[in-house]
Amino acid sequence: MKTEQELLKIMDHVDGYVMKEAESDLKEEIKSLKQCASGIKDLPYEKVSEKTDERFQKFMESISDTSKTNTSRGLRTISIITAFAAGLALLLIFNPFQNKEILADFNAMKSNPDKLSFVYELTLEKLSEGEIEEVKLLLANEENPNIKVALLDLLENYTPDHVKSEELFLNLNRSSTPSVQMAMLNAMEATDISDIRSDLDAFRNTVGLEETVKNRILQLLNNAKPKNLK
Amino acid sequence: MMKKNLLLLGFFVSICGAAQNDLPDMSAIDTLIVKSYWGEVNVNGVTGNKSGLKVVHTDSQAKRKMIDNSASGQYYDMKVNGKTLRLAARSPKGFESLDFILSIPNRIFVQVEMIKGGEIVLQNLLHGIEVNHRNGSFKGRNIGDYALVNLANGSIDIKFNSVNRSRPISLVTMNGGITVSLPKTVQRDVRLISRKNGYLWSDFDLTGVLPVARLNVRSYSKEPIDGTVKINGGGKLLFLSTENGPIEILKD
Amino acid sequence: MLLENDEILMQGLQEGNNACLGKLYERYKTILLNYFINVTQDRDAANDLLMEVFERIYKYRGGFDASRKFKPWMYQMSNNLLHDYRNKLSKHKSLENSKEEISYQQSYTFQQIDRGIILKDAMGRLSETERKVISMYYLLEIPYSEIAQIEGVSVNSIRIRVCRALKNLNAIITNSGIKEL
Repeated sequence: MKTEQELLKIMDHVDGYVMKEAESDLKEEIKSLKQCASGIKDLPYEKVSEKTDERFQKFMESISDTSKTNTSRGLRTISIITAFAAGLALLLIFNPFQNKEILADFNAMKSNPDKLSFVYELTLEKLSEGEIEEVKLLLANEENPNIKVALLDLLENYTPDHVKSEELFLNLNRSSTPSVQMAMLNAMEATDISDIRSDLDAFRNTVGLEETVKNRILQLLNNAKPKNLK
Repeated sequence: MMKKNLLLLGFFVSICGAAQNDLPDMSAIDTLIVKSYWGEVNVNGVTGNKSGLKVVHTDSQAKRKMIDNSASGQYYDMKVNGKTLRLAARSPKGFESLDFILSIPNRIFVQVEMIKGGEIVLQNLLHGIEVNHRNGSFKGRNIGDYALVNLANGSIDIKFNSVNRSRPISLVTMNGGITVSLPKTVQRDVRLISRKNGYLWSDFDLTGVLPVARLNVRSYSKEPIDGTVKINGGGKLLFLSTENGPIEILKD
Repeated sequence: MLLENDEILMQGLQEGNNACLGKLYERYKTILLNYFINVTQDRDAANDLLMEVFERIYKYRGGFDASRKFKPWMYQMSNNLLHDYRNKLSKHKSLENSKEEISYQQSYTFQQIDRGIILKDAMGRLSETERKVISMYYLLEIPYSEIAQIEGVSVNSIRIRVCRALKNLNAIITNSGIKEL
């Protein structure tokens, strides 16, 4: 443990107050701390969310009728989430497995407990490829987080052969419930994520994403093999 | 946590004599939906059609005040749609919070959504509950029928006095332990998931392939728990899942 | 055109020109957001805090002394809000969260990961006090003397805090298997 005087001496070097070379036992440490300091200074800035800019603009409107700000200029870009949502819509429209029994039975159920029981019963069976596709559609349309987690628990049994990382990512983008996001990331564990690496990395910057979820994404990215090493 | 709940209970008792907000005629209501951002939600079921609502506002400087009927519109909306009573906090300014303390007939199904953070305590509710909560714990006492509970950061502690044998129970949290107390005759298929920092404790005999090396040892392990077992021969689903925390299944 | 420094904009705001607030927002929104993200590690909360800062600047515009500097006033306000936020959160967040933060010790093995990701992740594992002090110094570029004033301690105490935070950051990175940033 270094004394406060020693720490101040180190900081004299890190801050550049002292130009002469440090004593040899401190040299390495000072070099590392300088690297950390410059790393922090060089960290790329994250942008203010479009939602916050809009909130600010509304606030400005509420305090003044005449003031005009240009806060939302250039911010109206189509987000990746919107793009994926559009993709999902196409999937729902053109999916060749529509109108199978699973979908019809599930949709006929009014209550969440009935739906959950139904999903659990599916885990006791071996599903065909077509049925798995229907379960994916249930996942895309379901709102209740407990049912979604159960659906993901079911689909995890069919990774990586019948459930791909891209499909899971599509759903990840549509969910804002942390436990559901985690269940999706857990289901991705056994899949090949090489094609969605950059999307996953970008998703880490989603506004409001829980630290645990971000860490899980980082863990997935670190554990997965780069594509060229497969 | 216990201390906090006692404090809340103490506060509830202390304001019992204070002005109470009006709830509509509850005889025609079968569902209560509460949506809040920051604060506490405490719902207590009672026999008959008696009801009561107390709302406490806490501003960013931690000043607390009771909200009465005349000011309620500034802080929350109350609407009846068919048989559903919906109580929704207005979007908060800064970090202000609202505590909802409700007393309702115990036959009413209750659904609570907490968007930011707080504590949820539901008790003496006989016809099921559904909870979606972000930051903070959930506590359920004398719950009947079924429960679907989903938390991001917080522990789940729920005690059933009866369960509907044809309905499942699902308790899911991302960070936190799960403790569930069930009637001793309950029959369930139990799906158990604890990804890390967990252990498994059960007062019931669990049959099937046990997903842990050591049962009933309260020692946190990095090893994931992932398996399906049966209680009393099996039955409807009891889904217990946490990313980070232990699981305890207790006999009531 | 007269250079619209922060103090002139505040004066304009005090005189009823609300557009000045928009200019201050444009000037400081990114840096403040990143400061809040660094300290809270929560983008959603950071965006809320950013909004709250500017609402407060407007609300308390009358209390600003135009003969003094704007930035320390704004940073003081930001730190007060962080304090409120922390109080609120500590009231509600469960113990399991802190356990999660501590127990997570993932090694960085993937070669293509960039140093920004590593550094941000490592910063997330520092204590909030450490994140705050190094963000004030290196991100907001507030001089030691002003940080000392905001925090109510001596300049040397702040320098020691920065040093300890850097050392801990370095230790986290080294323990994770990365030789050099």
